[in-house]
Amino acid sequence: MNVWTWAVDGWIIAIGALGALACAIPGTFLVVRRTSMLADAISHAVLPGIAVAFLLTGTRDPFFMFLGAATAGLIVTLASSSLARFARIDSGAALGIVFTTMFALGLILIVQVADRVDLDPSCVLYGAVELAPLDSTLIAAIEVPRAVLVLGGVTLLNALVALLFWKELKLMAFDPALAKTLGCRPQLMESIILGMAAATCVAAFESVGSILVVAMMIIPAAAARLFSDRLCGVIVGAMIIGIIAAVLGHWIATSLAPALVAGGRDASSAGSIAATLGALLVLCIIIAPRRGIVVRLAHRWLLTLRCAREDALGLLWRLDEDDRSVDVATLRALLVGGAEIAPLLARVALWSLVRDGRIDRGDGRATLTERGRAEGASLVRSHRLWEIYLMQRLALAKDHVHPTAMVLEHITDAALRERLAKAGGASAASSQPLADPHGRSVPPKTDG
Amino acid sequence: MNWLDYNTQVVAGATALLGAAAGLAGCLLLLRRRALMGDALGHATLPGIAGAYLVSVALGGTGKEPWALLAGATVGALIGVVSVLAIRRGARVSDETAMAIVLGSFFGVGTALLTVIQATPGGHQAGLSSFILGHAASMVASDLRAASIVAVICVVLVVSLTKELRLLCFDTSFASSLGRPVRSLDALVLIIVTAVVVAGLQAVGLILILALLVLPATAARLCTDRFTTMLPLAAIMGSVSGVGGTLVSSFAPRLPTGPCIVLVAALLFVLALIFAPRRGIIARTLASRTFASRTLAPRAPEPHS
Amino acid sequence: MTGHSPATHHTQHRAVGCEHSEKSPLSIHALTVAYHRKPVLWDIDLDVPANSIVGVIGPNGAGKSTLLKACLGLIPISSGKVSVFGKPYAQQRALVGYVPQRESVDWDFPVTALEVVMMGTFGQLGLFHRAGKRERAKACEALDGVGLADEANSQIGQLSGGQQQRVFLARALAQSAQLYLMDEPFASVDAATEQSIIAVLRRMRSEGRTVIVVHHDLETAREFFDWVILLNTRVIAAGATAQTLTHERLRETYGGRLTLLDEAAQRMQKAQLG
Repeated sequence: MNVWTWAVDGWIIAIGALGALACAIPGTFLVVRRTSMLADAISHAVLPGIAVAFLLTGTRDPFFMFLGAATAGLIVTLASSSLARFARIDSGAALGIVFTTMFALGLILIVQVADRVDLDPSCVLYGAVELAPLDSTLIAAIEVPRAVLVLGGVTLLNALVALLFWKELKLMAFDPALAKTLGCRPQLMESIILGMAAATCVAAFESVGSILVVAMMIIPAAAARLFSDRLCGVIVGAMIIGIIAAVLGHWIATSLAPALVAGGRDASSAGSIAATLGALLVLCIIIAPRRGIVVRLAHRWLLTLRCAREDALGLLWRLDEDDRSVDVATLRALLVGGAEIAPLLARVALWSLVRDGRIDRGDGRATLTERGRAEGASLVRSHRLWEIYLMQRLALAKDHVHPTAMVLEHITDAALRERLAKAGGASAASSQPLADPHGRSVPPKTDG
Repeated sequence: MNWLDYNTQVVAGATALLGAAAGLAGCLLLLRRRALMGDALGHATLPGIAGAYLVSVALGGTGKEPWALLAGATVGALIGVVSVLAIRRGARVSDETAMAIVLGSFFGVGTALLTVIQATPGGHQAGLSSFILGHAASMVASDLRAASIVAVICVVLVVSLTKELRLLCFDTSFASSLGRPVRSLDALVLIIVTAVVVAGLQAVGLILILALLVLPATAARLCTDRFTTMLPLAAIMGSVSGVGGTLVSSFAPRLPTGPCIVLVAALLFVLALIFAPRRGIIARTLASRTFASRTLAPRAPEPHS
Repeated sequence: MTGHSPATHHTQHRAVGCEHSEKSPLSIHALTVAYHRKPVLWDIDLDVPANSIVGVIGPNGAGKSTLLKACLGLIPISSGKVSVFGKPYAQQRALVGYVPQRESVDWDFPVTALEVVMMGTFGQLGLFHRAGKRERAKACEALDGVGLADEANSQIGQLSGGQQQRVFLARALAQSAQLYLMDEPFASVDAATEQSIIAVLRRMRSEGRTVIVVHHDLETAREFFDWVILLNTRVIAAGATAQTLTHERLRETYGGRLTLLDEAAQRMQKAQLG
């Protein structure tokens, strides 16, 4: 059990991966169009479709099963949207009404035929990806499971449709209103998206089960959305995440689960893949670049540190202006007390300033090095220019400008500073330094 | 003809109470525009149930204590709700996407645990999978008690807080400008729904419970424009579905109870859709016809205020 | 204009430290609000005069609705202080009425006009208390006050847009507050409704109440308001209508955006989101 046999496990992984590929394209559109629960509805509603197909034909021929399921998928899509529109019911409720009713109907129909054929409803829910490799056909001397062929076909079909209508679908996905004004026929595009979703759900549920279809459609796309703002990027990302989950999920089901539970057997691969997808999403929420929790926290901390360093330089520069000199401990106390910087942060900020040569702590005094002086002067210059600007342009009271300037000074670069100086009345011709609202003179330009 | 036997009475009583509670809870979900939350919640109970079984067995129990399994289901559902809210924020996706994510991955965890459990000695008889599709016939007096407790709590809460719930559902920002505890009320709604979902696992299973939440509420909404009428109407429709479904399946033993209840509810919904006084198909067809004949008539239409 | 309104500052506004800041129905001090860390209101200082109809005017995205919501504690404020009749809003809830934007609610909701108006009386009712005869009478009176007594039992979805707006107004009346904050009550209503709404607002003023209205129509602003606040992220000007609604001020509000400050706001958002 711990060793994979490629003839079985290889195919199971291939089926899972192909399912991920097939689901990525419609899944992405469902996520960006905010109609994700449609996947859930379609995959539940296929049950009566299969049952009716069996009742009518009397065989379990996959073709008729597929036809029945596809019809059911179409019905649930059309019925719920027309119910929502016609009876003015909330679209979520309409979807819930249609698919649960169809599912109930399917359960009853299946019980009626139960003694003639083994149509297990739970098989529809969980799928039987473990058994899928057994149902195979011979192609070029290789036993290829039917599920691989079906899912491969659907993947190709989805890719073809997406390529054909790429521009329209993209427009539709992000801005249906604009799409309409540009004559994109949003109704048609919407139907294409829904049709793709329905066909994929139906093709995939048989091998991977309806719940995994929901997970495979929605979760990879939602996770990939954290990494990319481009439709193409989201689709490719969803495919990659889906494939990773297929491999990892199957490994968990066949190797990890039996090892963990004493005397245990393999866990359901479909279930494990769905669970893995959920875990991957959580991982993505934590580590995604730009939007991930770790990056956001780290970024916030670095920003706070930068502000603390700048505050320290500014403070030292102002003390210098008043001809006061302090030791490092006093400087730290002033930072903690005056600028409300956390003690630990003040310590780290000062340590780093000493280390990279902005503050010199020879003979116990904290003094600015040349580099530190220039940077401190720039910060104070930004601060006082902002105070002038806020007084002049926003007509703020004199006692109000300081706190705002305390924030703005940290996001002001050289270019913005010089524009502020110009707005504040400094001209290249006059050498007269500007004075801030509190009567202090604005330090001259020190950079560039 | 055995519909009067004790067992049927128990099942009918429990499903009637459950239907009433689900009708009330469904109204709140529907008007809060979160109908599908019932589905996410339902699916999220499965890993809870499986986890409770494993814990119970590990602690030396049989793994079949109903209270333990239901407690597990409740924990699973509550974690599911919290996850929906957290994923919506963390992954910046819509409500619906977050529900689909929770539904798929939680059910996946549940399925994986279930297959592991079934391989363990005694796991096969645990009957955990009956929670997925429901197994009303196996309901006993204690289930009736549980259903009645949930129903009573539900009715008491909804009746005593009608005014607040209406305010919350209609105009959240106004409610919070009055200083109402909007977040707590919202949480209360979800807790009521969780209680209904858990209580309904035995009768209709975790998939079809959504139907019991949504169908009576929507049907009631079609029939009335008053919140205070809609609530009892939905509760009555839920009860009727429960009793009706139980009776139908007791007459025809080949029909499973859960789906029957749902189909009776669906029938009521279709009736409401057709015959509802103002929003029904008949009423609207008549109205549009009179409107057409009035506007097409040579005489100028009366001014509409 | 009443005796003690700070009409002296028609272009400037300060945190007035003297006596009328205590009596001012709404006094805002150094209020800054940020959405997703991007500041939408910068350092707002205002003292609204009592017993007047005040318009909040500015382009789309200027933060008009945000200003109301921040005052009501509906959105978190980054810094600053809001006081209502000299005390924090949380202690003065009963004195403040709110009319949200009409689009903010689902008009298909199963309630009647009277039931919506009765919601205005809930402020004085406890959590588990039911509305009784007194509340009903008050709601009927308020509904009558906006001329909708006949529609009391209509479902709100059946009312016209103007009628829906008046139902909201009646709900505010039923709150019997002293200070009203209204978000675009004149949005997409016809001229007749506009007149009936302003008549109600004037009646409120004559009863000594203060009404603050978010408004976007410059044509009618001069006629409707005693006092205006020109807002575009910051307060451009605030004061008596005649002196404040000048061509120059309006150009500053609508045209000349504060490019440097805007840029700074964008940088702040970028720096903190990464």
